[in-house]
Amino acid sequence: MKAPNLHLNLLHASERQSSSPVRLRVMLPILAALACAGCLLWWGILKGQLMLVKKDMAAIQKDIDAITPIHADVTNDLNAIRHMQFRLDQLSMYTNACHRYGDVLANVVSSSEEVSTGLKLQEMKLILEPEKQDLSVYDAQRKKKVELPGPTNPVEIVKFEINGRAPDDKPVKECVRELLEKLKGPDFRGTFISVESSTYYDQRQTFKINYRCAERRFEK
Amino acid sequence: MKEETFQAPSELMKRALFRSLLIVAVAVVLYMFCVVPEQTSLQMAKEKKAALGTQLADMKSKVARKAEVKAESGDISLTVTNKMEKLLLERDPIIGDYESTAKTLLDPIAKLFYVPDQKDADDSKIFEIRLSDKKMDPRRLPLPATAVPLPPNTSLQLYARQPIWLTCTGPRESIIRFIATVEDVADGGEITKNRLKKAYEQEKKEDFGQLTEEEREKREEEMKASLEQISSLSEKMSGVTLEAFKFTVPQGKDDKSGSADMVFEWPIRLEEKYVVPQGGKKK
Repeated sequence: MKAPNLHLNLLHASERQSSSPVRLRVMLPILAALACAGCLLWWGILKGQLMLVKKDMAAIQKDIDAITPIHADVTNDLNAIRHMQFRLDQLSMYTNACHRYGDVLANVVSSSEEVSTGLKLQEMKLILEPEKQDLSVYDAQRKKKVELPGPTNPVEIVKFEINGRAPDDKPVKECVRELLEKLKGPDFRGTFISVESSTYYDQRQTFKINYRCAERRFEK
Repeated sequence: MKEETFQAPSELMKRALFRSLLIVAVAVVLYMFCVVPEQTSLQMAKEKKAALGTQLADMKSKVARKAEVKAESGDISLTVTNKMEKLLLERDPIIGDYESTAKTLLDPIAKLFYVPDQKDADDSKIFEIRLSDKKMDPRRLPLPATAVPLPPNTSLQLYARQPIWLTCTGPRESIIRFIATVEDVADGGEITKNRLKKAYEQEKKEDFGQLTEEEREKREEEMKASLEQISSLSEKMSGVTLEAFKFTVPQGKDDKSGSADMVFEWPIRLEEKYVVPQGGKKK
C-alpha cells in the first residue's frame, strides 16, 4: 500500500502575483509577535533587575538602621567638637589679641628719668582705635535688620601718646631726641612700632610724641 | 517584493497585516507603559541605592572613628571648660553688674598699694581706685560690650569684650605697678608672689625680733592667705587685658603723682547668642 502524499499548499491562487507573498504574510505577524515578545522580555528583565536593586537597597537600609544609634552618638560628639572648637577659636582669638603694657609704662617713666631728672611726663595715653563698622545685617529668618555687637574687625589700631615738659636747663629738642632714642630700645621693641609724630614747642619747653603700637590682632 | 502585493492585497494578506499591526500596537503599548516606566524606576532605584551605599560608607567610616571622636571630644571639652572658659568674667548674682564684679577682683590687688597709714600720708601718696560712674562723666557710661571678632566661616557670636573703666589716683609708680601687677596676676601671678615672699623675708629679718610668737604666726598666716588669694585671683583674671589708659598730672603738681583712667577688658559670655545670618551683610 502506498503512503498518502502530504502536500501543504501555502500559496493561494490570489498570491501568485507576488514574488514572495508567503514570506510577507507569514513573516510580518511573526516579526510583530517577536517585537512584542521582545518588549515583554525586556520588561521582565527590568522587573527582575529592579527587584534585585530593591533587595540590595533593603539590605543596605537594614545595615543603616543597625548602625544609626551608634552613628547618632558619633555625630553628636562631632557636633559637640565643632561647637567647642568654635568656642575655643573665639576665645583663642581673644587671648592672642591681649597685650601687656605695665612694664612698658614703667620703662617709659624710667627712660624719661634717664634723659633728664627734670623731664616731666604730664600725660601718657594708650588709645585703642577700632575701625568704625556698619554692624547692621539683614536677618533672612526674622526678615528685618538686626544690630550685631561690635566692632568685629580682626585688627585694632593701638596708639600711645606722651605729653611732657623739658627742664629749663636743657633744650626741649635735645630732650625729645634723646627720649626717642631711648624708646627705640629693646624694652619697647614689639610694642612701639613707629613714631607717628613728634612735636615740641621751644618757648613752652613742652613736647608731644605719638607712637603707633603693635596692633591687636584677633587671629587664631 | 512586487508592487501588486500591496496594490491589491489578498484577503489573507489583509488579515496578516491587520494582525501584525495589532501585535505591533500591543508591543508599543508594552514599551511605553511598561518598559519605559520600569526603566525610569530602575534608574531611580539605582541612584537611590548608590546614595544609600554612600551614606552607609560615610556612616561606617564615622562609626569606625567612634573611640577617636570620643577621646577628642573629651579632650576639647576639658580644654574649653578648664582653660578657656575660666577667662570669662562671670557676673556675680549678688553684686549684679560686671563692673562691680570686676572691681571685687581688682580691689585685693589695689590693696597691695595702699599706704598703710593713710591719715598721716600726703594726699598724693594715697593710692585709690574706683569705678568710673555716671556721676563723674555721664557722657561716657555705660561702656558697651563689644564682640570678640569671629573666626572665618563661623556664624555664632558667643563672647563679647566687657570694658571695665576704673579711675585711679595716687603716685605714678603705684598706678603703673598696679597695672603691671594686674597683668602679672592674669598671667599666673608668679612675679607678684615672689615680690610678696621677698618683702616677707625682709620683714622677717628686720622686724620679727620685735614681735611676739603669736604676732609672728599671725603674720605668717596672713602671708599664706595673700599668696592663696593671688593664686585664686589669677584663675579668675586670666582673661583681663588693658584696653586703654590715660595718666594725667594735674596742673601745678609734680609729675610723680596724678590720676589715671584705665579701661580693663574682660571676655564675657553673650547672654543672647547672636547668629550672624548667612550670605553676608546687606546694606
